Amino acid sequence: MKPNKDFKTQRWTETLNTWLQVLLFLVFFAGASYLGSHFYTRVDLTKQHRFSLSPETIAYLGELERPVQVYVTISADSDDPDLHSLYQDTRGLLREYEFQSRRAPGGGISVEFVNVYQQRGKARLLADTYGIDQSELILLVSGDKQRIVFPNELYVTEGRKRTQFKGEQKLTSAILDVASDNRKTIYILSGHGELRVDDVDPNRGISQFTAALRQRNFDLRTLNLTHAEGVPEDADMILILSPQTPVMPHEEEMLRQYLNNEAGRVLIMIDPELRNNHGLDDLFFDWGVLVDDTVVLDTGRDFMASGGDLLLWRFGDHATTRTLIDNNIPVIAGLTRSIRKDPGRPIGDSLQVTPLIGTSDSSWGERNYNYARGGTYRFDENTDLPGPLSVATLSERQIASNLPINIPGGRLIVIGTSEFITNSRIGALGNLTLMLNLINWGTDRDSMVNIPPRPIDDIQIVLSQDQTNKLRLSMLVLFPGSAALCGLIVYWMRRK
Amino acid sequence: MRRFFTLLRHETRVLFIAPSTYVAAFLFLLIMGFVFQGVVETYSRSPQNSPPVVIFFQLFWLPVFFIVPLLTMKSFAEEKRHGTLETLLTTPVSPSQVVLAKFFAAYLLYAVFWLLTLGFSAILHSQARDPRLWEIGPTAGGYLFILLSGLLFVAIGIFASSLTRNQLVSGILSFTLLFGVIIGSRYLADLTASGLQFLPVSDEWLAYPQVFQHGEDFSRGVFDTRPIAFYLSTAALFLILSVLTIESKIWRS
Repeated sequence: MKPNKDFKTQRWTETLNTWLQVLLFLVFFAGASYLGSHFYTRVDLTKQHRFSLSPETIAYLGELERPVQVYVTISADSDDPDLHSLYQDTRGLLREYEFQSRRAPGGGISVEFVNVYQQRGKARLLADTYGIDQSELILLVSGDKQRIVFPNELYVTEGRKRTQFKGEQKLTSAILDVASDNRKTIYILSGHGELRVDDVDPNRGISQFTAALRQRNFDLRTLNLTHAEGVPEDADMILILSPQTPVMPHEEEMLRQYLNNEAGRVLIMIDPELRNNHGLDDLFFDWGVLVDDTVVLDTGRDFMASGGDLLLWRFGDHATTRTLIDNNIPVIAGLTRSIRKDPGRPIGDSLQVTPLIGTSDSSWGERNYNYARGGTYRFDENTDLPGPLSVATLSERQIASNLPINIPGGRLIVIGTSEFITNSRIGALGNLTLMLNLINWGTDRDSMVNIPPRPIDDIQIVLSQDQTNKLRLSMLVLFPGSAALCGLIVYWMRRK
Repeated sequence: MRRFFTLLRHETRVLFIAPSTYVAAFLFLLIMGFVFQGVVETYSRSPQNSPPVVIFFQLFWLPVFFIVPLLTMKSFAEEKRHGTLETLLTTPVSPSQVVLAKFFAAYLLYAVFWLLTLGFSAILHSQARDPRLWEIGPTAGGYLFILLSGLLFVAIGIFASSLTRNQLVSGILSFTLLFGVIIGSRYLADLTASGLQFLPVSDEWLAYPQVFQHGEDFSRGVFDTRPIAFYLSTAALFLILSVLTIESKIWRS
């Protein structure tokens, strides 16, 4: 009996030994996996380093002050080739952001792709928490700050063709925006019957516009210059939205000082029917802008919306209008006056005035709008301004420098209507997009980082029918056939 | 070491004269030919912003599911069925040498099969003559991924074969394990992303074994050390488990 018992013990010992070895190797495997997944590196082997971030982005990410959560609602399974490449480009880029920010002192960037049609729970959470209820966008959240990046912001297009991918520039500036405590401060001038900031009134309220700005991390404050000694130092931009009474001379002087001496940024919307009593003539002259006392009228069918609103399709080629030009989106406005380059403006290389929005060939600037009210408007070549007309301008001054670079100076945007940012119109067509682009440009928001866009080099295979047949024959006959032939030879040799 | 190379030579020779190897090669090249043909047609229809190898390697799993079981299913199962494993283990070779020899022989064949597909790109290049079709980074990255992931896939096949004396069972087991590693890991990550948390692990851990993600990175030309650690360690694990299985009397009986 004893030998039997010994065999049993030995068998148990062997089994135990085997299982202990299995356990040991599993522990070894877990340790190796931990080390492998935590200490790693990535190298871009592509010729032009297509998937590497620029040194500027890497430097920013290395010093990220706090973690940033990125939600991407771009679908992976879209049949639309544009959306598919958008998904691929965004995914590839964000993987590099995750990698480069992994050792940031304040926490890195984590990315989550959410399919809003399949992941209903997650989609509801995004909608409840961040007010996001649409697909195809990128939401960046850090602390209580958030920012949305839309797909059309990520590409440079020519016509309808995407030519460059500027995702890194957009995402880096968006990350810097949400992860730092600095907010851009915008002052909205008050005291002259301007549009009402938080009013929900459809005609004079701009609550929707200001909500959109707050959602994009702008700090909005009202500014009354009547008793002030100057423009606040922290003003990144000043908005003057449809004053109904003239701006006082000392207020105008403060604005001029702000624009000229502090490289200030001002956006002014001047509605028609205010005559020339807006009180900003000197400021406009300084910045090469002529504000006409007209009302723009258009008889072209494609340029009038129902209800008599003006459809504005023509845009000057500028960073702020490129999205609208590429996607052929107009803006819609109510009563509008013409704003143009002042022919008698001060001459100097440093001032550049760009017409921003234009009207059609069938439009004109009606000077006698008060007399014609209620009657029929007709172009009078003796008094009216012939179309096409400019209804908005951008003036920019470059500061002279000894270095071979231009330092941006003040910027003035003048628009001949405010009736496209009021609650009744801001959500229509390209109105909000244009306004946000103007505010971003005015506050240098996306030019904080200087990362060049990457060219999109699409590859297409062009083969003749003969070449296609050769290719097909090689792949489907030559290769598998050779393997089969080798097999037959080996079989024949073995038989022999 | 000399014994290992003797065994390896023998195992390689056995594989190269086996008819099943040529059946596998024929099927593999035919399927990959169709895949490559499909990729070329995609690029003919509309322009794409990445080289063709990126899409080609996205379908790496298609041949893996049948080629790996075909190459490995008989390695131990047949020895067990014929009773030659016991004889082999009485010779002065260790079980680990036997396992490694069988593994490397199958792996060599697996690598040769894949490297033959370089011919597809060469033929395309000779016809289309666009240097962008033959970018070295993505091509090298794609094949590096195939060679790295092949270590794990072939080790899984060897392990499956060590568990049974029936080739068919070994093949099915191998297919199931490969399916679990390649598709299962992705499915688990998708479920977790949709809010169904099955395992108490972080997203980082779930991202670690994502074979598709590794393939995507490498075939874009981005070289990452995490997959290298993953494939080497998991291949080692399955080979060690195979050695333990061969040594163990429970599985040998």
